[in-house]
Amino acid sequence: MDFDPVLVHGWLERSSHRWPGKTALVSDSRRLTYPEIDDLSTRLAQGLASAGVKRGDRVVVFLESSAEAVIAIYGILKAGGIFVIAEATATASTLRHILEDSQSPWLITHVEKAQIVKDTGGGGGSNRSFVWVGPSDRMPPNAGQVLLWDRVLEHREGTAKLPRIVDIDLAALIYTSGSTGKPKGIMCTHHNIVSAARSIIQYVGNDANDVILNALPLAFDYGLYQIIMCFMFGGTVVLERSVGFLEPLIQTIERESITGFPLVPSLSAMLLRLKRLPVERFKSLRYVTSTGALWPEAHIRKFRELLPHVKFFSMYGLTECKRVGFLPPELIDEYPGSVGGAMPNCEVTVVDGSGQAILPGETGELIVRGSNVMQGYWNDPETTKKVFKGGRYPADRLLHTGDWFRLEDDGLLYFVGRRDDLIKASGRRVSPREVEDVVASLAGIAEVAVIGVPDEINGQVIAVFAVARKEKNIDELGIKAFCEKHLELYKVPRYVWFVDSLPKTSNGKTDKKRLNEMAAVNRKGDRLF
Amino acid sequence: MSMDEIRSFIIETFLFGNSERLTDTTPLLESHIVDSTGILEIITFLEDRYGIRIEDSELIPDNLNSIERIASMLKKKGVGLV
Repeated sequence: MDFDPVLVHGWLERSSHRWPGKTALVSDSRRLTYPEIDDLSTRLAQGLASAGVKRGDRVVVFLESSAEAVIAIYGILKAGGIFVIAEATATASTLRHILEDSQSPWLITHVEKAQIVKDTGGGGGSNRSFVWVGPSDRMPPNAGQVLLWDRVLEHREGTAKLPRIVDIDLAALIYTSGSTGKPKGIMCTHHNIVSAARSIIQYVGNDANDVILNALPLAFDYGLYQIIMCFMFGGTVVLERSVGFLEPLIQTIERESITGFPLVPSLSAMLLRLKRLPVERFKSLRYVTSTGALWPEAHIRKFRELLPHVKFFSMYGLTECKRVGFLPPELIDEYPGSVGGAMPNCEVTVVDGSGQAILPGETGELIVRGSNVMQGYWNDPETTKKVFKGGRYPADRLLHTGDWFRLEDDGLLYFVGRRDDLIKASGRRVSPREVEDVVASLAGIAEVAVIGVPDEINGQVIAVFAVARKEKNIDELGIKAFCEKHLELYKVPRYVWFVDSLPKTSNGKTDKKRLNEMAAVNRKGDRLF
Repeated sequence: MSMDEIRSFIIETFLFGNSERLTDTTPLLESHIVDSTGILEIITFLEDRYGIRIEDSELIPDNLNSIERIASMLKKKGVGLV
């Protein structure tokens, strides 16, 4: 009897046997078959294991969205390791945080990123080991072990014995921001990932004929799962590094006969900003998915009108459980404001402050149960306890999402807002605290508060309220320039407003509700939705 | 039109004065100086400032991904260099 694989990389091995001639991945001008990726990732695993990577070791991947990144993910898993993807646009301080917090002895990166790696302070002096992609003459000197990607992948016969692992072993730490502090690594087992992926494949209805266009970053779970899911159902995934230029993206849709196109609302807004969406070039499309931020109803309606043959899935989730639910495409015209109900093998309840299920029509916090609920935050048992609460028996855990939802009579869910002040910019989570800390480190700043304000393209953008020190000279440009150097682009403030003092609530905390009102006044006249 | 004008726009809008990373041939997206939204801002700026129309089919890196490429696209569209 042929059982389904239980490990993430087990599915790659199975697809390699099932579809030996099939193109699994298209990236830049490369086309790789399933057996090629399977073989290359085994060689990498052998190289890593021979160099000392052990079961449970974290390995950070700091690469552009590329064939190398995909091979690295599967190579690390085969070596029994836990992969940790740092976003390709990470600043040195973000990368340093991820390396230190995950306690990764290894980093797989590209020589083009050598300067950022050096700026983390973890370059030459540390004992960290590296795998460098790219020409060896550009490889910086290093005290720890160094492997060259090309050389490792040349070796056909590995001798290191790869460890045996089980599906409750961790496969990945996915770093994402919370409302406070630095990004946290969400612990995902093989079982969590395979379960979540299986549920999504089921409701999207994927099969081996699907060709997915993946323009999303692999550090973002939505982008990462496009690869993992595709390798489960035996389709083809086409990587696009950026969505900055729409014409090449549309050319790819035509050339590769793309059937599945995962979007975030910002990309959807950009497509609708075209002078004319060339609908005749989207003939091959079977479905579009959207998640990461609320999908404006007006955009859904416009897309439905332009591309009536395409199924549109409006979805909701959070990295702590990957995905929660989706609206069945046949309901999208009638209920475009809803994100639907729970996906297969996942259960949701909406509760009030005392933990009681609310009545239809009321608003409460969404609680998630299922094999897709991850294991908590790496090295942060305190926050883990607050968010992942115990259920009826040891393995039963309830994810408290911090998202407020309204549940309607028909069982459909409507997103209402966040319990905390987490910002979603371009579909990515931004901690107001992280931006506040950067701005506050400027000498001229007495006090600072950061909020997210609505934006047509990005969902939200960052706004800073700052109180300047009298004696110091600081202006809007100075703050923005400083943030541009120390934060990723999507975390850099769009607005900086100086105030004499920050509004406070009765218990002395910054009144963010009042700040939101002030922001709306400041932006009167700006074009919003 | 002058290359300086385009350079100034990019430095002011996206780099807030930090000009050290930007040369005329620096690829704007790959160097993470602008993101996809930034490209839209550049297009709006060029259309408004020079009274031209950039067609959807012209949204390619060859036309927009560096100061030099933007200048050469503008030249092709008949915008004179100062």
